[in-house]
Order: sequence, then C-alpha cells, then structure tokens
Amino acid sequence: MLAKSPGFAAVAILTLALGTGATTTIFSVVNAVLLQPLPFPEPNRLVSAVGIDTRNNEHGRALSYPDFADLRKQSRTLESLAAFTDADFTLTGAGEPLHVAGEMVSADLFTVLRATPELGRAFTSTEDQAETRVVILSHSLWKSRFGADPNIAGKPIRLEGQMYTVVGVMPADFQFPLDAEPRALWVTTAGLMTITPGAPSDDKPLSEQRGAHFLTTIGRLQPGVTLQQADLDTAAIAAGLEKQFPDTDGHLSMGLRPQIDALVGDIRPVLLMVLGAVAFLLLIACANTANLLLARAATRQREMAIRVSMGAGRARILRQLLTESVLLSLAGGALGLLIAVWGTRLFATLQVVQIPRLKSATVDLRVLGFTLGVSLLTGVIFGLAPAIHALRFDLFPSLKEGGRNATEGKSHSRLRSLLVIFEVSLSVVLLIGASLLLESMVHIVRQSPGFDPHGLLSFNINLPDVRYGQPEKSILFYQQLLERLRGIPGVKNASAVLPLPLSEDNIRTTFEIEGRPVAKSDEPRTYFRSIDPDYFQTMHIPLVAGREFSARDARDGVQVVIVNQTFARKFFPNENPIGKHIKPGVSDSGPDKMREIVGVVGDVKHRTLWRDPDPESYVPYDQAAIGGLAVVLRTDANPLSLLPAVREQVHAMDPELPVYAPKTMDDYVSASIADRKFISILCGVFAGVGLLLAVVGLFGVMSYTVAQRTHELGVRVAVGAKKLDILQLILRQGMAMTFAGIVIGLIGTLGISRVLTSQLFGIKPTDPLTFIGVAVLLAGVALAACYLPARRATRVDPMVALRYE
Amino acid sequence: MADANGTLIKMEGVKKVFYTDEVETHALEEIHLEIKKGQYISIAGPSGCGKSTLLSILGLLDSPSGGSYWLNGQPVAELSTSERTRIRNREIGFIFQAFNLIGDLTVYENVELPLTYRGSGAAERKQKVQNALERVGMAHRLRHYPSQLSGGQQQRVAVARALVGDPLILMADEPTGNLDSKNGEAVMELLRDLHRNGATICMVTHDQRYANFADRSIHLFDGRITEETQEAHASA
Ligand SMILES: Nc1ncnc2c1ncn2[C@@H]1O[C@H](COP(=O)(O)OP(=O)(O)OP(=O)(O)O)[C@@H](O)[C@H]1O
Ligand SMILES: [Mg+2]
Repeated sequence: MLAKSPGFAAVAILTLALGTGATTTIFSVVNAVLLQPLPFPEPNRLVSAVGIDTRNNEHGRALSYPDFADLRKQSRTLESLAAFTDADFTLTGAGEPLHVAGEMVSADLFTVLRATPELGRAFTSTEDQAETRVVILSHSLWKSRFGADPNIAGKPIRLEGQMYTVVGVMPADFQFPLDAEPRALWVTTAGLMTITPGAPSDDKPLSEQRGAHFLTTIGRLQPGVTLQQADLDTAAIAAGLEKQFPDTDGHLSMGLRPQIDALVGDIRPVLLMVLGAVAFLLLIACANTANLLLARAATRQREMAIRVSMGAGRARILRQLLTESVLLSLAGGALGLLIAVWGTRLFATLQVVQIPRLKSATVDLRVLGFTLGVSLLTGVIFGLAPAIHALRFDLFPSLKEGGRNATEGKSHSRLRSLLVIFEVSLSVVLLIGASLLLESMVHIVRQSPGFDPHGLLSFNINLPDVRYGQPEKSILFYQQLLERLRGIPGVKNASAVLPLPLSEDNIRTTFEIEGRPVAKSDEPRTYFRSIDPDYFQTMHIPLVAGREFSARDARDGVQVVIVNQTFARKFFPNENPIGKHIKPGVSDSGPDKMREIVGVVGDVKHRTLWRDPDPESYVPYDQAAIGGLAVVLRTDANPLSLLPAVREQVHAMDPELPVYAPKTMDDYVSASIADRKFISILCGVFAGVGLLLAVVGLFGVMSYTVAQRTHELGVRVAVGAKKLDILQLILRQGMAMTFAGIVIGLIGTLGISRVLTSQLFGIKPTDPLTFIGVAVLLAGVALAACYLPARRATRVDPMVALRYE
Repeated sequence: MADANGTLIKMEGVKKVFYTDEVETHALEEIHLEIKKGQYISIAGPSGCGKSTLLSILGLLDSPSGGSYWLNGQPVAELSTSERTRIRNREIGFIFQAFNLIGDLTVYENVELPLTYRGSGAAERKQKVQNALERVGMAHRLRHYPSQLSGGQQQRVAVARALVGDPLILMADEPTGNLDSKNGEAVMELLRDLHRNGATICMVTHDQRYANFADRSIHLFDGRITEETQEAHASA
C-alpha cells in the first residue's frame, strides 16, 4: 500500500519526521543538561550545602567560611564537604601576562569529587593553611602556557605577582565548577586565612568573618545516608550555630540539596516546558498522520469489507494496518533522527545561550532509544484509530451501499473531525504559550536597564594584591588610568565600578540606619557598588535628588553614600533621605563607618532586566577600595574600536596587567536575556510549525470531505443549491471544527497557565488580548485553509447526481 | 407557464458530444422534441443510447453542444448560471435511480432541501414538506435517516423532495431501477397520481410496463429518436 501511494507516504513521513526530529532534538538537550549524571564517581551522593534565610525562606545563599568549617566539622551525615569561590588571576612569567579564570577551593575538593590529576597530586589537607601557595593546572593551560612540561609538578609559577608551586595537572575532561566557563587553574583557600595586605591589624581574615557569605559548597553523603537525614542533620547544626552566633547567624539556617539541582535546578522547569511544547507538536503530527491513514482507510473500506467477507481474519487486517503505521513512523523517526543530529549540533554550538552542559548535547544511545520508543509509540497511536475503525466497521452497509449514498460512515468522519479539533486545540495552547513568552520577551527588551547601554565599552583589570594591595595604591592607579583613558580621542567619558551591572557579579551587605537600632541579625540588606565619581555621568544614570560624588569625597573626608530610588522608597518612605546616615558593611580597612546619604539616583536593573530593582548603595571608590574595578568608557564611535588604544594606555601604566573581558554594555544587556530569548523563539518556532501542521490537517480533512461529498454536493446543486450555499456549507463544517478546537484550546491553556506564570514578564498567563489574538489568527488561517476546498466544492458538476451509478 | 399552444419544452436539432481524451462520443444527435404542459413522456432505449444525457439537458443539469432548446418559451442558451440554478430549484424536480438522498440529513431535511435553497420561510417549508410527505405516504418517518429506510421508502422520499417545490416538470431517471416490482409499482402509481393532478413528467425507463403508463413513449437509439408512440389509454 505504501509503495503504491508514494505521495501519501511522503507527506506522512515528513510530518512525522518534523515531529520526532523536533522532539528528539529537545530530548537530547534535556538528556545532556538534566539527565546526565555529574561526571564524578557515585554522583548521586554529591550534595550542596546552602544557606537559607528563614525570614523570607530564600534558599541558596552562599556560606561564610566559619559556617562552612563548622558544618564540615560537626556533620555526621556528610562524608566530606568542600567550599569554593571564583578567583581571577594574572599569570606572568609564562609569555604575555594572561588573565585566567581560576577557582579557589578548599583542599579536600578533589577528595569530595574523587578526581585525580593526570600529573602530580591533588591538594593535601595541610595546604589550606595560611601562606601556602600551591596550584593545580588545567590540562589546557598546562599545554598552552607550559608546553605540556611533564616535569611541571614542583615547579613555581607566578600568579598575581606571587610564586605558587604547581602540584598537579588535571586531565583534559575535568571541569569544575560545571556551570561556568572552564577554569584554568585551582588554588587552595589558604588565601582566605591571611589579612589582605594594607588592612589594619584589628581586621580579621575572611576565614574568620562569619558574616561574609561568598562560598559555594559541594559535599558527599555518608554511604547509606539519605538526603533527608543529612538535611535534618545540617539544619540542626545550623540551629546550633544560630544560637551560638546570633549576630551573624540569626535567621540563617542551612540545608542540603542534590548537587545536580544546584547545577540545573533553575533551568529544569524551562527545559521541561520546552519539552512539553515539543510533545504537543509531536501529538499534532500524530493526529495529522492518523487522519491521513483514516482517509486512506476510508477509500479502502470496501476493499477491506470484501477481504473480510472472503475470510480474512480481523486480527490479520489489524496487524496489516498497524504494521503499515509503524513502518511509516519508523521511517519518519529515521528521518527525524537526522533532523535531530543536525538540530542537536546546532544547539551545542550556540554561543549566546548559557545553559549548563548544553555544549555536551549529542545524540547518544539514550536519545536513540528515546527516538525509537517515540516512533514506535506514535506509530501505534496514530495507527490505532484507523485500525480500530477497521475492526469495528460494519460489513453489511459497506457492501450494500457501495459508497453510493454519499454518506461516509458517520463514526468515521466524526473521528476525523475529532482529530482535527484535537490538533487545533493543541495548536491553540502552543500558540498562546509561545505568544505569551514572546510578548514577555518584548516587555523585557523594552525595559530600560536604568542606564544607557549604547556606546559603552567595559573591560576588567585585575590588580595584584602584592603591588596594589593598599587602597591608596589602587585608588591612585584608577585615578591615573581614567585620566589617561579620557584623553583617548573619541572617548567622551570614562569611569569605573565594582561590580559591573548585569555582569552576574553582585555584592550584598547589611547596614545600620542611624537612630533605628535593631539586633545585628535583623539588619536590612542592600546591594552595594563601589564607583568612581564620574560613574553616573558616564552611564547616564539620572540623579534624582541631592548631588553626585566629586573630588571632595576624599578618602579622609566625610564618609558618603548615594542610594537608589528603591532604597529611598523602602527605607525612607515618607522622609527625605538626603542627610540621613547609614552604616553599610563595606569598609576596605578598619571598622565600618557611618555614611551620610548625599544623593538619590535612578534605579538600575543590576541583576536582570525582568527583576524589580533592589535597594542599592553606591560608595566612592576612594572610600571603599575593595577590589579591582571594571572600567566603562562612553563614546560615539564603535565601542570596541577603542580597544587598541585602551590596551596601549593600560600597558603604559603597568605592562603586567592584561585587559580582559572587553565587551560593550549592549552585549551585557543582550547576554542577560539571551537564554530567555532563545527559549521564547524556540517555543515560537514550535508553535508556528504546530499551527502549520494543524492547518495542513484541517485542509486535508476538508479537501477529503469535499471529495467524499462530491456526490452529495452534486445532488444539492441539482435541487437548486447556489454557489454561495455550497461555499457556506463547507466553510461552516470547517469552521465548526475550528471553533470547537479553539474553545477547547483556550480552556486547556487556562489549565497550564500555572506552568507558564513563572516564565512570564509583564503579562498575565490569561492575557485576554493574547487569547483573542490567537483565536482570531487561528480562525483566519483556518478559514483560508477551508476556503480552497470550499471553492472546489462550488465547482461540483450537478451531473454527478445522475451519473453516480 | 406554457406558451399559447401549451408547449413547455421545445428542442430543435439538439446534439451532445463528449470529448474524452482523443475520443468523441456523440451521445445525442439531431433531437427534435416538443413536450406540452401536462404530458407524461417516457424515454426508453438500450443502455448507452443517451437517455440520461437527454434528461440532464432537459433538466438544465447540462448544456447541449448544438441546436436550440426552449423551456417555457425561453431560449435556454441565453440563461446565466444562476438563472439555471433558480429554474432547477423552482421549476424542475428530479427523481434519480439511486434515490440520492443525503445520508446525513433526516427524511424531513432531505425533502426540505429545495425549499431551503429557495429561501422559503420556515412555516411555509414545514407546511409544504408535510404535504409532500403525506402525498407519498411517508409522513410518519420524518425523523428517520435514509439508511433506516427500505429502498422503496427512500425512493418515495425522493419523489416527495422532487415535488415539494411544486415544479412545472418532474424528471425521473429510471426511478424504479433499484426497486423490486412491488415497490416499483407503488412509485409508478405515485407518478401517475401526480400526472393526473397536472404534472408534466419526463421519465427514463427500461421497463415496457412502466413506459405504458405514459402518454407518449420516445425511443432512443445511438443518440437519435427512432420511434414515438402515443398511448391511447393514457388520457383515459
Ligand atoms: N461525461 C461523459 N463523458 C463522456 N462520455 C459520456 C459522458 N456521459 C455520457 N457519456 C457517453 O454518452 C453516451 C450516452 O450516455 P447516457 O448516460 O446518456 O446513456 P443512457 O442511455 O443513460 O444509458 P443507461 O441506460 O446505461 O443509463 C454513452 O456512450 C456514454 O458513454
Ligand atoms: Mg442512464
């Protein structure tokens, strides 16, 4: 049968290939991102310990070193626990100065992971002690900068101007942390044990600051211990710490979650939503193919009846039909697999999106199995309808009528209509979902970040502590650097900030408000930025009240702070914040100081465009030189064209400082929405294909109906039906199905709105305009799809009424 | 209305040629025919001689390839498609060998169809459908579907549909072809009744017994009229 009707087979196979291809592609992504175990032995025992703010139940806060150390010591349910945090380094003495992204890890990290170096050894537990400088290199850094020296272990290298001893090299496939760009090297947390050079002696090293939350953790459960048991144990330890250190650990609990959740917990609902969308697409494809098969079954009904009457068993006929449909779906699946191989490769090479492990997406055995399973299942699903029908059909009328009475079996056409209604409703759900996502995207894109990102270049410099550790030194450095940069032709303004907006770097601190004493643990929190005085001018962030920083806000002058509008609104709702005093924990040396609020500036979307701005405080760098600043330059020219001149100036000041991460602020803005955009567009494409398939399905059914009803239409024309009567008759039938589908689809969308809510921005999941728009769009497209067959129907020759014998 | 001497249908030199691929089929040649209002004509002849073709041209389902045809004094060639549709709907009733009831519609809706397309009001439609079904003795089966009726019953419904709009002429193409003799006679009886009440009828039939019911019998052979007989008893 298939060989006899290549056109039918081609359409069916293409439809199925589209469905399975899209589904398999997404599944291969889900497989790589969500389902693959972590690439370490016994990955199910790996967990992450996180802080929980018991006031707002905010999970996932970073831990302080003392809390981490206490948890590690007291836990009876964790076999081991390691902490880590990002650390940037400048590598010198091995070719050009190079900025490398590294990770500062507690020495037992490799024990937790059970990872062994390919060369040398891992850290020993004593290497966390102060003044120990050891480093493990990544395979690629070892190759690119040290010529894959087999005797590297034991040799010194220069990082941040200090000598570190290489103890090992990790294998090429080792990566940690998994959700970030590959790290070039790992050092121990020994650096946390000493006080930063230049800080007054009464300051404590980070390893003793219980209030400084910056560590991420990974631990391994004791064998036989469940996550729940360990989680309870952890919470109990946290409760003890809270009692013991109420100032720093008040309202702070701790909990465990599977390490895989820490990695992909955020992206999971999004990917599952996309998988759901693509499953809808597959269902539409199935319904379409089922309809094609039904149409064919109808034309063969008499043949079947005759076969049965001649003694063919029904089981045999059922088998034949199912074999056909499974053959079709396997062919579609094979073609779909090709699409998936291509699609998966496309996804894996996408540069813009930052979904962890996406790059490792391939069509592996599990994906192959999935495709095979989906193909068999779809084959049975869409083959079942015609097969059941074949089993149920009534022999007698089939033979008696010989198709003459112009009445196709009623149940038969009803089944086909139901399938079309089903397709239309699925496509309504898909379309509304995708529209809502895309509309959210438009809302997000229209969000102002609070500064003008066009014409802004930013880059980073990492100042080694050895030479720039004292605040005075780094302050001077930036002053001079900015002065030089402002002199570059084309540069209109230059300034610097830490952390850069939308860079995913954020600093949060607690603060005191003068005259409103609260317990230490109840202090409110604010995001914090250290800036050069020209920052607001350069970024075009509007001043709302008071004044900006200026040269008079010197290091030893009045201690000042500027807050954003959200801060002012939240903490000084009915007062003028100017002149009020707050004490944020942002000192670069000595105890925190009371600071006078001298200005209020406009809100900036520092974290993401779709999150409401948070309370924010800005302090002049001169008064809080807490680290290396990111430089921002405003220009009318193409921002990146300034880079050579920028490099030249930096080099002139210090040839050992690499300029790294040069990007336009527009890039930061688009990178911050890239994942969302990608997901929205993906869903949009699926919805478009779904609509296309549904409309093709409707068109097919209507064309088929017109063909089937030719005789009836001829009779109608013979007894006086006008062209318009016939047109209406056919359109009404098509539109009745469409409207039924639309109504069911709208109701269905209400059902899944809960899934969508969390992915939307600026629009409700029940947005009436979207619902109406999609309904109108579908009705319009359906009308067009029905119009062609209806036109053909009006050309039916009434003669068929006579000739049909 | 018929013209002065009562002529309802007039054909002069009508012919019909079908072109299929390379083959020309001359289905009708040089047909001269006059039918007066109130006449009952039977058309007979061997299979393929052109009976259905003639009937379809008479009933405006098809157009002649040559010659002239006046219906009710009006040259049919000058009619537009919509005028032809209108006339088919109002002045002509068809009865087909295969009944041609629409399976998805009830008996009532099937009979109502010509009135629906004419745009008659609901009350008028109801009245006329009821009358037509009573005349064929099927008034008790309004809600049935064609598949729930016997062949004879279906054909009686088809007759009701043909006469529900009070057409000038009834065209019947082998109305008894699919019926056993008992049912066939019942349908013939119906047609005779209608004729007695003034209907003009053109009926194709193979069956000599039924041909005898008519006033005139026309014999076709190879697309030409070969013989005409006036039945003496018809006016009796
Ligand atoms: N649409 C058509 N295309 C080509 N040839 C046709 C067409 N309709 C009819 N014919 C031919 O015209 C001739 C007359 O056909 P017609 O149907 O009028 O015969 P008939 O007398 O009604 O036969 P029967 O008694 O079998 O119904 C036949 O030779 C037939 O093959
Ligand atoms: Mg015939």
